[in-house]
Amino acid sequence: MRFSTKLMAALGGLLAVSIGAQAQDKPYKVFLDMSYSGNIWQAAAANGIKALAETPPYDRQVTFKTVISGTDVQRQISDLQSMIADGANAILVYPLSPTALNRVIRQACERHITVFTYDSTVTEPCAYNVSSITARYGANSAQWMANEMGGKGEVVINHGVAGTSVTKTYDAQALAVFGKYPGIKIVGEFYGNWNDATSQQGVSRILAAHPDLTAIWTVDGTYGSLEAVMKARPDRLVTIAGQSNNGYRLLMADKAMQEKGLKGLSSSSGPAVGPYAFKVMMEVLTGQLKLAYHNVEYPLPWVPHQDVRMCSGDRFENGCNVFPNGKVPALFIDTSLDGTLLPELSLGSIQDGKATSGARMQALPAVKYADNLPDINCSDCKAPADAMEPNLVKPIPVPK
Amino acid sequence: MNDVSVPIGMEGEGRRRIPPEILPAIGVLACTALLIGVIKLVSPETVLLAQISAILVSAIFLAVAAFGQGLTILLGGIDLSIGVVMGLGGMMISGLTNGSNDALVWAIPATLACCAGIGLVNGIGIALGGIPPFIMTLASATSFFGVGLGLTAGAAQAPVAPGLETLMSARLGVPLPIWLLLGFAVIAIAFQNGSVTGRRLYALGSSPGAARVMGLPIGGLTIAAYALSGLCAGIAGLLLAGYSSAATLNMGDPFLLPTIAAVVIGGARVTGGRGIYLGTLAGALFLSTLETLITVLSLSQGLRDLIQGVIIITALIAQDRPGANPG
Repeated sequence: MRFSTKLMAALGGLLAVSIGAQAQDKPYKVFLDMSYSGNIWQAAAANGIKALAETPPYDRQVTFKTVISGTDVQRQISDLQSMIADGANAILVYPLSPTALNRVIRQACERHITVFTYDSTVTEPCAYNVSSITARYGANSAQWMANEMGGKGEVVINHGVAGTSVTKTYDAQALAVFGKYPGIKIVGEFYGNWNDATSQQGVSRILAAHPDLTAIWTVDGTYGSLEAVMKARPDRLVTIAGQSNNGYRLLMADKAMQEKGLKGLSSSSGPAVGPYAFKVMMEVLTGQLKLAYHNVEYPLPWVPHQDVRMCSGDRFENGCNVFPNGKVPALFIDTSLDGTLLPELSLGSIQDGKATSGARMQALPAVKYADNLPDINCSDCKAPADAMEPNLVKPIPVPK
Repeated sequence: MNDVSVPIGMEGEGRRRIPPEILPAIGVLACTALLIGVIKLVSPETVLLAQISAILVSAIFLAVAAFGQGLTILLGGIDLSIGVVMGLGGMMISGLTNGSNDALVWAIPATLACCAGIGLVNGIGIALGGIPPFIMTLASATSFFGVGLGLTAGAAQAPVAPGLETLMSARLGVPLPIWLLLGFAVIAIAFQNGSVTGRRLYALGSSPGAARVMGLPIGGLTIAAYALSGLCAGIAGLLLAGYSSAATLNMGDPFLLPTIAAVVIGGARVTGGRGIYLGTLAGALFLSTLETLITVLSLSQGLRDLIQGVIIITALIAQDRPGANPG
């Protein structure tokens, strides 16, 4: 019975593909415009996208090119102009500015080019944004920490990269949540630049000045932050929220570490938002999906310490979400994979950008539309009244 | 080390037992001690020994990389490839060892040879090609970064060998990196002020014309200085990879400007010919302490960049002009 349903679905898929192929004889010309690929996050996102572009049936439907624009907005604008001139059908871009690209994106839309962004967003309404910036990482992670801390303790804030909309949004949310608890004292703040080495140095500096700190809030650089505590104070660990590096998830789940006081949350923006955005874009491009709104939310990865599950193979299957020690480097970002929304990807896809052998693209479940956030994913719009409030965690009452 | 035979340094000043270059170094060390006092004042719960140990450990990357920068600045040059070479060194060591200690035996020499090789290319371009140092090193940094990016996509997919991690986290009374820093400083000072090559570098830096007349191997010395700078950046990259248990291609970037700052704060003349490693080391410790103070004060990123910039400019202005070499 189940087999026949699968068969029907497969046949249906084939039919859909052949119809799609008839409608579009020539393959779609799709460009990926990356920002900076010198870091793990960007590399993982780009490899996931490349792997999907090689996964059947996309391998035949798409001619795929990658351009690295670096960190210079002007260069990104001119790269996008070249893609328009080259006759692109769709462009997936990691935007370096929420507003500076608007004019060139509008030019692309006028030529009927489908423009998607991933992770970072633009305010130009004709572009589609796919991101988890609206998923309130700052509020949810800070609330989770406040709950675990029982509403009191000394917190260090490890900011990301100064001046980015992610840093501004998340910081404001986290500080608002911590501010509700008079027992929580922020004893130090620094800019870890989403970098583990910088974060480790930052935390080890603060730790000497505040030997009793009990918690660290991060967006990235979490593993480095925790390592600093493990080196300086191995028997008294901290409550910490942040990224999803494999080494960090393993530590979080380690019973011995938990006994020493480690309470970890693995969340923050995942590189899988890149391949997810690519998949949504391809479904829009091939007419399989019609989006009612242009802002799509990639669900916030959310793995508190008790939810870490070991994977036996190369994929995130049956709810597993971490690889054994030694299978991947400690800094491998587990949220590069997504067992629910991106079952086509495996470890090899993220490491080499190659399609998983035998994988075929599967249809997406219904998308979740994102909240409006003024000057981040829209202009002339209003944020929901509760935009700064946690929506995944229930706050504990303020202790007397 | 007190008889640096610099041809033009002899005029005027009498022969003191303490070379004048030590004074700025001592001054900077005093300022560093002062900063540590301020940290204690701002945050009374500070455990001083732990704080000093944290400052020393986090200064090692800068202190090692800045030695190479100091040598190129001694020649009136500059090495803008240090950040990239650090990243490449870290990436190479994790790629080659792939988490195995056995591989360290050959992987460390291979990595350091490659890093020194990048410095060699810089030196050849500058000495034989006549390319201005900042253009040559910036161009080679961009090119080699591109090669690294093409080969690795930006992040090492292999874990760092555990031996290297132990090196950066073990303790021998004090954290092991502090002993490494001490050992490195002794070797660096012995080379720069005690060896024939070191003295020739001073001579070349103070007056290329005189060095030519004296028949010094100018090309060879220039190439050696840049190769050493590459080597030091490579060592710093290895240490950084061990410290952070993983390598990324851009992990050395935040260190480039501070290497220049450490050298300048330490009293070296940017036009070449003057500066000792003790000064650079003091500069590195000062910057590491300042960074700690800024972190403890939780200053904003803008303010922190401003402070670093102002300190470099102040150090440049504070250099005594009379002996300055015009170009």
